[in-house]
Amino acid sequence: MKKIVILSFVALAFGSGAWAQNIANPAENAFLENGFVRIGEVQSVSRNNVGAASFLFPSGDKLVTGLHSSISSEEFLSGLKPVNSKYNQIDYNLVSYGWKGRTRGFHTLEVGARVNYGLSVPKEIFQILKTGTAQSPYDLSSLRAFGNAYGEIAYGYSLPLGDRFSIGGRVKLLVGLNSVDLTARQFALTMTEELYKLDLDADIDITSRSKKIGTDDAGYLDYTSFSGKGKLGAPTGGGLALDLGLVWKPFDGFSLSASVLDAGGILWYYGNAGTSSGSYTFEGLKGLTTEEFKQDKIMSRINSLGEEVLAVVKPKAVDGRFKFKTIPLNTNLKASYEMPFWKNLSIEASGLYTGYSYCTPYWEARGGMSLDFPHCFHLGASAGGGACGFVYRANGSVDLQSFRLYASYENGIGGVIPYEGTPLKANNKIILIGLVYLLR
Amino acid sequence: MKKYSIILALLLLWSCTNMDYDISRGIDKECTLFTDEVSLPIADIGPLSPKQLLGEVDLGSSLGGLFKEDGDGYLVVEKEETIYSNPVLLLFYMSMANPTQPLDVNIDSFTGYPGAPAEGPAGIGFTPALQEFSLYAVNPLTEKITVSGKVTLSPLSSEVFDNVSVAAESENFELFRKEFAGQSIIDVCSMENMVLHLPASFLEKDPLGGLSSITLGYRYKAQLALGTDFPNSIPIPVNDLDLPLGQYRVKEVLLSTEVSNEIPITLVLDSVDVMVKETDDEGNVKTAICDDVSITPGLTIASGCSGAPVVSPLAITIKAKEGTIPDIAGLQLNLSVKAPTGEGDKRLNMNQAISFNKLRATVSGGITIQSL
Repeated sequence: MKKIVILSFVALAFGSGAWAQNIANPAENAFLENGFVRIGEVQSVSRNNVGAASFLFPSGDKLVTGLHSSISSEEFLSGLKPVNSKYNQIDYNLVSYGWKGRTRGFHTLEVGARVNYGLSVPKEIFQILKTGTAQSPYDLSSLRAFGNAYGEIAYGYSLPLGDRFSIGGRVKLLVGLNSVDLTARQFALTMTEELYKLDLDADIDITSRSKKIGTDDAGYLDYTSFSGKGKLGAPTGGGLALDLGLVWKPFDGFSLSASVLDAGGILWYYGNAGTSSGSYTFEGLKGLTTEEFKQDKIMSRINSLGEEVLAVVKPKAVDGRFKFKTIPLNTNLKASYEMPFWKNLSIEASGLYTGYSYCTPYWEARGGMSLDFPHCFHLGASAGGGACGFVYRANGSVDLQSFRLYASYENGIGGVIPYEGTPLKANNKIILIGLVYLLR
Repeated sequence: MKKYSIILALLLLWSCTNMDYDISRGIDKECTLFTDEVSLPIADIGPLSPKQLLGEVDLGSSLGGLFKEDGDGYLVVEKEETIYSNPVLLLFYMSMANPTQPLDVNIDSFTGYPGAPAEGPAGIGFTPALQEFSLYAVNPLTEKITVSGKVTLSPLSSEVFDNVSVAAESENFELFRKEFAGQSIIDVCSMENMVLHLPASFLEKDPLGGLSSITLGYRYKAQLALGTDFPNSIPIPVNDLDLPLGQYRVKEVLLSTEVSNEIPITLVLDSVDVMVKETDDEGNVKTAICDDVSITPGLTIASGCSGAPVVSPLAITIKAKEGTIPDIAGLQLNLSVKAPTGEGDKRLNMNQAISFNKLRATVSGGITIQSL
């Protein structure tokens, strides 16, 4: 039902992706004739480089997971990536104001917030579960979990250079709100019949904007103990990012645009910092005697082992530390051509690359077309492929007097449940909606 | 405008396609993990000594009645019996008829069974590594006495002695001592024609000595080694095991270890039967041998000796012939004890150790669980 509503809205509401704050080439503003006020743009991005189709398989007349005995190791594992990432991002543009300068330039001022979170799981974890320990040792250091929330205050300026060329830039002041990052420099697991060995060197960093995590007597972070007033507190990070773009219209009806967005990062202060470091080797319970064959004594030995493992795995509190983390970097390239026989119809080709410091990068290439009726509505559709497979998008906008309502829905293909025909959740999805008041 | 409306309507129609789904419906969440194999180090067990093992099965007390440990921990049979004991005062009364003459006291024939316990309980064959037999006398008198007679140590030897002196005031005078190495057990000792020769007026010099006794006795000690005569097979039932393996659908388990053995016996696991619970037509549950599971037989733990353990690698495979290993109710082990092999001391020491090192398990073919 949710999907119906969204698609209906896409069909009814309308806009151009170019209006969206976070994916917009700042140079495109240079050709705007009037200013605008944008309120409450929301964009949700979900990207997984593996989807449900990588984990669900038909077996007879039922559906099973990749760990079912009827699914071969090759069939299951070949559908996974070396690092399997799930990434989500929510962008909220509180307000934007754009105005035409006294000279030829166009200015924008924008305030918004962004939240992103995700998880990366190495293929080796599924390999261990599926096939066992025959291919030990395993490198699991790509396991990562993260979450970031930060605010943006951006000033943009774009300038037409003649009738066919424009450049633009945007400077963003980034205000860190909260950040959680679990990362491993070393996470090696050796599992043989002789020994199980764990080598771990990992950091967990949590900002302490309002509360400080306590420690237990041994100096380990104790997540059940907090101190602090529970208020919002001060920002825990600060940074800068830069957007740069250009648009070139070599001849009538044809335009090329390129942009690099969000080049920058945040210097976070992680007041709740912990490090899990050490090595643990299990070579079996040592020196078992007849007196210890009783169940309670065996369990006591096993519990003792568990505590030794925890001593390596549990993060030990360290002094707060600064860490610089880049924000997701977008690079875009787009070509658009208006059909000579009908100027309202355009065909487009575009490419996108997003680099994450947290997980595997995303890229895509697509082609599409759009219908543009100025001061009335705009419709666009595109499709292509990329890091998460096939992807399609529908976008549109409608002008109602001085208001322009715009939306975009982008989705991938997540496979289909065999015999039932119902689609599985897509690997990549973007939903965008916004409202602009056009200053005449 | 009409044209635009048509376009919008088409888009609406397309977007109304039912794309609801519920992937949790109808998904079989059963998982089979580790389909190739998973290996796990389990434990190093030991060192375990016979003393610990016998203590665990509560045989220690029963064997303690037969065997003892010497100072070094070796298992020995020790026996001490009194052949004759009489207070000097009583003997003096016997001499009252002619107190100025020496008195010869005839001692009743005596039969003892010093080495009988070494035949062992339940026919376990021990052989004596070294036997020591001694005849001793206690003479509280202030004069020497003499002893004559014949001692037969069956089946090894007999000794006749005549007027062997026992020093005055000796509490433990050794009249006769014999050592036998690697020979048959002295299961019977007999004393015949034993005569105690007392001097005349033996109480006059020490009247208070009459309160003590003149005693003859023997002491026997045999250090035990393991022989060759063992029962063919010892059935060892392991009941009430109740291993719920069936639900995990395990096809094959390999248990491997290295056994380091100082105990001078060779153990052979002749066969292992897997017991499962079955319900008959009348609903009665009974335990029966499962023919569908095989366990590698013929495993041998080689014998060692003190200070020179012998290492035997063992690999036990528990394998389902068809399907998977069921719930195991118990095991029926058939164990043979063989004569020690190789060179070395065959004596059984209660401190000799057996260790099961690097005990590890490898499960092949996967472990099935209902859901993660």
